[in-house]
Amino acid sequence: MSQANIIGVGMTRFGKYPESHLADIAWPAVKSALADAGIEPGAIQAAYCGSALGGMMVGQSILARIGMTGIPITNVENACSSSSTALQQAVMAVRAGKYDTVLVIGAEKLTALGGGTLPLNEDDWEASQGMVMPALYAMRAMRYMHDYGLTREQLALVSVKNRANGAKNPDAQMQKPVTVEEVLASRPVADPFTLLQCCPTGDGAAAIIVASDKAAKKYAGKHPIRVLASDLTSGRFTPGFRDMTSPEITVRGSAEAYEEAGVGPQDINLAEVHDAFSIAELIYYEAFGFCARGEAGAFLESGASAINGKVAVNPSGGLLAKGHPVGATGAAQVVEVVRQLRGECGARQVPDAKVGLTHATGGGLAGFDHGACSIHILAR
Amino acid sequence: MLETLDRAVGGERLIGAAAIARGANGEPVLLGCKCTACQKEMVPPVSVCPVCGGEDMREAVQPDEGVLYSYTVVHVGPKRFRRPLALGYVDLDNGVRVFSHLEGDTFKIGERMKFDVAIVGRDPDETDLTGYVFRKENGQ
Ligand SMILES: [Zn+2]
Repeated sequence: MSQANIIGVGMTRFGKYPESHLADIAWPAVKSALADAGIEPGAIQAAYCGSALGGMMVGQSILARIGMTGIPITNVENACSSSSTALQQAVMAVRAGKYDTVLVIGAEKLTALGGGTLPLNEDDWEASQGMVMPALYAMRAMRYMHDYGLTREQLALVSVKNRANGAKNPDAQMQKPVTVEEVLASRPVADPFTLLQCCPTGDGAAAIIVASDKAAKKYAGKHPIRVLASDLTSGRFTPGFRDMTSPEITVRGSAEAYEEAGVGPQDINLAEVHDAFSIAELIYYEAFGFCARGEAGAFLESGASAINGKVAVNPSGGLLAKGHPVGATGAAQVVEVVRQLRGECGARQVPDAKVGLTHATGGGLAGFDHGACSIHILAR
Repeated sequence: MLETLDRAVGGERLIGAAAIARGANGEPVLLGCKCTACQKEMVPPVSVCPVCGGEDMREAVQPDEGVLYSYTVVHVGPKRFRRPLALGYVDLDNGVRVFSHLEGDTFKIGERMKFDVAIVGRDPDETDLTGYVFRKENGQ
């Protein structure tokens, strides 16, 4: 069995491109990943494309723009985990020996929806009564603050850290650093969240070239990045009481990923986690074992999750600053970790980064923590 | 089989109608269901158990009070509901957690809440929306 390696990455800067077709937002990311890998388009054997809201055959419409037709293309929808699920499918295919070279795409155009909160399934019991994603995360935050004494200032500090990181990332949608005061004074969205504690809505794309050991040897001018773990799981339906301060789907997923990779939290140098709202990043510190339950606020305040800290969390700026074009997010997290592991990140470079992880989870469904969660652990 | 309120009351537009029924004394009650296979209870009533797949689901009137697990006051979201809109999870004494609109000015995690039916919004055609809510047990 071959291992899976990543030999090329590329992305289209997250932002707002209301005048562009989704395919035109995405194809440059594909070309840049191919160029990064030094592989010719005709050598790609299959493609997996993740998009949550892009409609039918997003992969075909993107690849038709650049003459990459006639290969097997699989379109994947898994809410915020769409393109990380596409990567998981690609890794599985390479490990199984089916293909040597696979393209993964994540693409989304949220400006096509006209703004506001993400549309949830209308037949969902809670959504039909007014549940929206900010409200769900806000209730996690309220309970966490109640149980562990987290302050509004500590919560705002997540946005301050990630906006500062994003200001050093040319691919980030939000380029301006903010202060705790500015975060707390921005307009209320869902108590305790203000606007600057919610990820922006936008468009973007990212692409990844996955290769077998054989193909990696042939193409990877730059050293290949090894995929140590590629995990996908779904939420467990829980009708009764459940602890909203601990995300059961990510707790299970992280244990599976660590086991597959043969590493633990102490080995992770950087992590791109799903900070759709400020509280999320704090809860995920604990779910990944970077700190103990209830200690996330203090962990953040100590600088442990800063770029020069114990584990750099969201050095790209995360969803809060880099942006969150839903289906593109997972692939873009991988782009950042690969660039960090290669030492290409300039002002936001994590010193001596050897092992990194990505985590994309989402999908609002009544009775679930989340619908989907995909975690990857990568190493140089 | 209990009569659910959307069939009992004409003219009103109900939100969460499947979980609102008329109880023995004519007052609205919160309706859930219980799976005879795994004994789990949940709101609203469903025909197949989402926990074990069992299909023998019995209607079960839920307790009319519980404890507020968490809440938020939302300033975004569907325009048909009041703004700001208070939403929360209430833990009923039988182990069921209910998502609900909340009535009141201020809320506290851990306080006791009571079931009621109230106006929760208004559609663009000026029709009021009625739904189940939880409000503080004492006061309001
Ligand atoms: Zn059951």
